[in-house]
Amino acid sequence: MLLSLALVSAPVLVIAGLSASGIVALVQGQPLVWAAEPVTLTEAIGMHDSGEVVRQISLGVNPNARYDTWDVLKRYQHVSVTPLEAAVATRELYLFDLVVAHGGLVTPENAPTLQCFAAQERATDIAEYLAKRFAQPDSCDGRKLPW
Amino acid sequence: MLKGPVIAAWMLGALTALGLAGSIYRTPIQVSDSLEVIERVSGLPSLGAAFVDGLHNSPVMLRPLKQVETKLLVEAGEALGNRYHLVFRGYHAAAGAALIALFLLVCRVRTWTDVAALGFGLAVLTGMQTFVGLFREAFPLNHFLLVALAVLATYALAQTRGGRLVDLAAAAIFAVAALTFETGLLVWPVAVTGYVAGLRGISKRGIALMTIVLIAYGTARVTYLQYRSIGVGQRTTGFGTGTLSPQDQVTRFGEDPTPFYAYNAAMSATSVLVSQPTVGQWTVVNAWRQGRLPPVYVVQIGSSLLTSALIAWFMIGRGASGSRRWRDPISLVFLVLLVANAIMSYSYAKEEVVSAAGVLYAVMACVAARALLAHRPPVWLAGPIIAVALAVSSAWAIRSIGLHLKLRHGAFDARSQWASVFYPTNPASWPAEGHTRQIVERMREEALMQRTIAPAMLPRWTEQWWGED
Repeated sequence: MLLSLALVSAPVLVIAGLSASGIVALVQGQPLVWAAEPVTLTEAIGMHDSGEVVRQISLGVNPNARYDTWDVLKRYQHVSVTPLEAAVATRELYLFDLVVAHGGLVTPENAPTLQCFAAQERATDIAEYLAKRFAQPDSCDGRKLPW
Repeated sequence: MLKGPVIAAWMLGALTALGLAGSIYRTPIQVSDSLEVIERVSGLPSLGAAFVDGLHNSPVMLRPLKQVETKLLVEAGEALGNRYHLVFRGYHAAAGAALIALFLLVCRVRTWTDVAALGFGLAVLTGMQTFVGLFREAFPLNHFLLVALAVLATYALAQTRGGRLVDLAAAAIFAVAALTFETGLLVWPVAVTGYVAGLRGISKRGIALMTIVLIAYGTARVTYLQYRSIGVGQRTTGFGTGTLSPQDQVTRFGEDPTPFYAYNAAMSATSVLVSQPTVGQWTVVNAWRQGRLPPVYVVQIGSSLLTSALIAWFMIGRGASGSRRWRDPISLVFLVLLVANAIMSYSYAKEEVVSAAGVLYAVMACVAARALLAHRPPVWLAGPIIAVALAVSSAWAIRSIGLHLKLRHGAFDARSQWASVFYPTNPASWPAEGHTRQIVERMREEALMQRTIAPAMLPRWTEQWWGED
């Protein structure tokens, strides 16, 4: 009897917990265990969540606005950044390109800030991408960067 | 009338299937290895055309029924109002439930002791590293899962009282499995070994029928269709504590691939028994050398070693008839399948390829646990056995939670892939044909709207307990 209990108790507990999570997922759309949580557009970029980035923009989220970003780009810190700045912070050119392809605007006004930020964050691929399209700013001194 | 233990066993199976279905259904249809097939069959006029196309679209892979099955699901999705996620992911979840149901049938639960052994067996089944590959990806149908289903179904048929219908069903299952994926050929040794070991559900006539299918398959493959076998350098694979790129493999083993093939086969079998190496690579040795051994290695290797020891104890023991239990049908079928499945992994190591052997390993764990529960050890040994049983079953329970974590990772990856489909700045990559384009657009929409957790949001300790993705 004790041996039976020893063999079966942990598996049954886990099966019960996971089945509850699975039923909730099937009925409500999200499981109890490791469910998706709401994130801002810039948080999605910071987490390399390109699917969520495209979902939010296709639902009307502005790819050129500024969003709060908690504990993703900076550990345990709130930062307010644009999607393009968040992409620079990840140093991933494909994310930068994703935002641009979905309406993120790189203009003569924001390009110097992005270039200075890319240099600061050592986002070399993105810096090269920007250098091909915009002249390098003379100096980054006094330019307001996300951090 | 169903008895209490049987009802309890099916309830346990149903709960396991529901938990699994919840995670599978949250995983979007993939792009890589899937969309190409979906686009291909969408443009074909009929199921027959999909079959014929599947005969000729690769020089090494003969999988025409995979295309037929994919076309069937695409058409079912259309018929249900373009609900492709429902059909493709629902099918995958239902196939998972069918696997659990067959597992229950093969384990043959009759008493409360059997239920306890089944609980342990289900934890082993869903905790096996080879099990993850049956659900994490779909291509767009997971052919490894279909083979595992076919193997279990064949064994379940062999356990029946038999008859003409059973023979026909066994031959049909074999044909479908073989024409869906190459490892489907494993169904034949399962049936033959079962017969040799004394199971008569599939009769001599049924075995002959299956052998005719096998000969027809081999003849068509080699002579009419002129398929080549897979050689050295197919994909990156582990070797020792490192990995070999396709080019490395050709350089080192191009002249004489035998040692490389032998390594892959031996390590594939070993991975089923001890959870290492991982894809041919002894990652545990690397972790040890780096001075850090995360709990995932202790849990996985420890539970596998002890469970394999339990299975070995069972096999060398004697059954009620007095003969060694390795001669029992399930033991012999497991041993033969393990070897045959490993041999089919000769070209490269991949956990999914040995998933059929992994499923039977779990059946063996259930059967061996049942024997352990029936065993009466000396009183002084009872305490340690209970403690070890608790530790091992807890370890497998932890491993089975990891399945769902890996499915979350898979869901994230699958959804992310859709971000590059219909890429606004690359319209040249969009499907040109209108009907196919509609299907892909709808699949993309369904996938992107399905929110998944990003791995970056998962607690860091999950990596310690279940490994990196």
